Amino acid sequence: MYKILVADDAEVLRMLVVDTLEDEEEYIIDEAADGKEAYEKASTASYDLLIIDNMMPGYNGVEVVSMLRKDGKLENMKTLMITAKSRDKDEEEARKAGVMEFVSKPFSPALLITIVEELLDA
Amino acid sequence: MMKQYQKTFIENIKKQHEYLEQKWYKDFDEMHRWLHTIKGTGATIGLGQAAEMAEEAMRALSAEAPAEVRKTYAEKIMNVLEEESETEKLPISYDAPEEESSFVLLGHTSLQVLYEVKEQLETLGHHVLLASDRRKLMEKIEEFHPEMILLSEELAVRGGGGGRTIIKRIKDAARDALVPVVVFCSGGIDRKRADKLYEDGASFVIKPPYSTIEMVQVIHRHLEWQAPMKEALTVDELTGAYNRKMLEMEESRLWAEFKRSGKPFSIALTDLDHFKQINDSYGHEEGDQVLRWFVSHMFSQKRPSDHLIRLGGDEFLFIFQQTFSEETEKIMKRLQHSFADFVAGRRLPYRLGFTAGTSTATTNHASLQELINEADAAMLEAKDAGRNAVVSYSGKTTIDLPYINVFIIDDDEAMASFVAGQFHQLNIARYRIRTTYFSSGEAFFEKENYERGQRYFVVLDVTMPRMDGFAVLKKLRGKYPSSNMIILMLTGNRNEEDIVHALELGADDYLMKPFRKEELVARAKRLIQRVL
Repeated sequence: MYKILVADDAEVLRMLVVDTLEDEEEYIIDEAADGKEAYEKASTASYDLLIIDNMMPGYNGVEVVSMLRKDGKLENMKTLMITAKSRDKDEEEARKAGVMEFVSKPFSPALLITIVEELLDA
Repeated sequence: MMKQYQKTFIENIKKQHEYLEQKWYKDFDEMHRWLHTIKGTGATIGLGQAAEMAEEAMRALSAEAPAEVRKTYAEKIMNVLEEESETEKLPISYDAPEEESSFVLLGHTSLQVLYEVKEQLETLGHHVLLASDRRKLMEKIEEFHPEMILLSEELAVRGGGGGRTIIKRIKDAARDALVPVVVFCSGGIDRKRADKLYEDGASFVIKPPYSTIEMVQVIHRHLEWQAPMKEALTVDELTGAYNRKMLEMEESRLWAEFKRSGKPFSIALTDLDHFKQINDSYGHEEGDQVLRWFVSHMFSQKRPSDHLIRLGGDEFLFIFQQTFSEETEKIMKRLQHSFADFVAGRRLPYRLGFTAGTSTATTNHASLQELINEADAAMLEAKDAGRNAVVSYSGKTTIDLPYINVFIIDDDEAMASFVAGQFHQLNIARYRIRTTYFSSGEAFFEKENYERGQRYFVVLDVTMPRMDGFAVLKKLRGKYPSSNMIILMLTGNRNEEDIVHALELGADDYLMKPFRKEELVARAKRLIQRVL
């Protein structure tokens, strides 16, 4: 079983992601509703994967990931960022901060699961 | 047109030949590149004989071949080139595949295996998309709605044999229960693994040893069978138009397409004027005949991507994909005129015409039914106005047609101008085309050519000095979102590794030189229709 933290301030989207992953019955899911909560949870517990929206109040996704990287938290945790469609430049910046994969909105559950599996199986 | 390409091409080849002469044919790489260009471009622009000779020279010459021998070959080619360009020649005729050809998606971790399958399917008129990993596979299913999906066991099953399969997910993503999913297995498949694939929804499991012919025929036959089955299910028996069932199947696809492309679809609701009277006065057989006339006439006039559906009685629905409101009204008026001409030619004892109401999808609409209701309201308005009229619901959208920016990156100028010429003649509804030429990758990246919100079609040559096509491709895909940029690679030879590499780096498709202009046109059209 893999542990995944889903951080998104948009409740509906977070629910969609959580439901999609829970359908697969091989993940334990935790949720965070903003950047601050995401950082705190990821700092104290250990997760195999962090799925994080970039646009969030408090800290945005890139900020959370860079802070976690400084703390050495990314060594055992993979990262997937949910982004808005226009993303060219942001993506480069996010990659530098330590984000491994991206999925842009709107995305389908099938695609999300495929990317999650690929990250975790790798 | 072709003459012009030939002229430019020969001038360039001559210049390069002079350079070779000056250097006493010492530089073998230079000579090789020269032959390569003649081989690749020559055959494409109607200089086949020279191309063949260049190919022969490439086989015969090596770095060790003496300069004299190289010189002889080069001069022979120059003579043939001059001669060939003087004789009038018609381009080879070529039947471009139907626009509504089937899409097949092939997923395999080693694309080499599928390379031949793709080639053969394309000669049978199917368009083949390739995906080398699960993510690309899912993305392409959602984007292209293929008629059939084939994938290797490695992609279908997670974590090797015995793991969970992704077939159900594929079916969900395809949003069409009729789409067959075929899995082909690698060596030593046991009964249990094959059964698991069937249980999870695979339509076929192909077990080794299989041949290219077997794979091609399984796919081709299945598509052949599928077509009439789908038709039987969705076609109205009396008239041959689609029925309501088709509407159910098509609705989600229409909205998805609208969301993805940003271009709306429009509908037109029609009914025949005074149909009831015709039925009453001349009998039902005459009424049925009128319905058949209407449909067969519309079929002869409509574009391949337009759909005609019989909702019931004499009520029909047209669906125009990627069509704005104003254009829809024009189309309907045109159909009205041509139907009037058709009727006049038959000298019927009664009057026959139709009234139409149209409506166009917006992001505020939630269902097709809403659009149908609007079109219905517009149709009533048209009837009040005296029938045989077209009325559009709500305000009109007047939007300038968007551009497709075609970037041609190729060090071979003649080839580039040939490609640009084909794009200029390309008649794509709802778009305007503008082409820009870059003689190298460096020249392209010198300044920012990309603008958000625009659509791009990049034709990229693999073999270029300094920054080659792969490097350019990698940079393009890394820098810009791929959803509004099609990349078509031009490869110089039957080098499978090049093709695999290009597809892995994110190219949408490839064309092998030499290619015919019809191949380029067909390829470009299909890519634009499906991707942009």
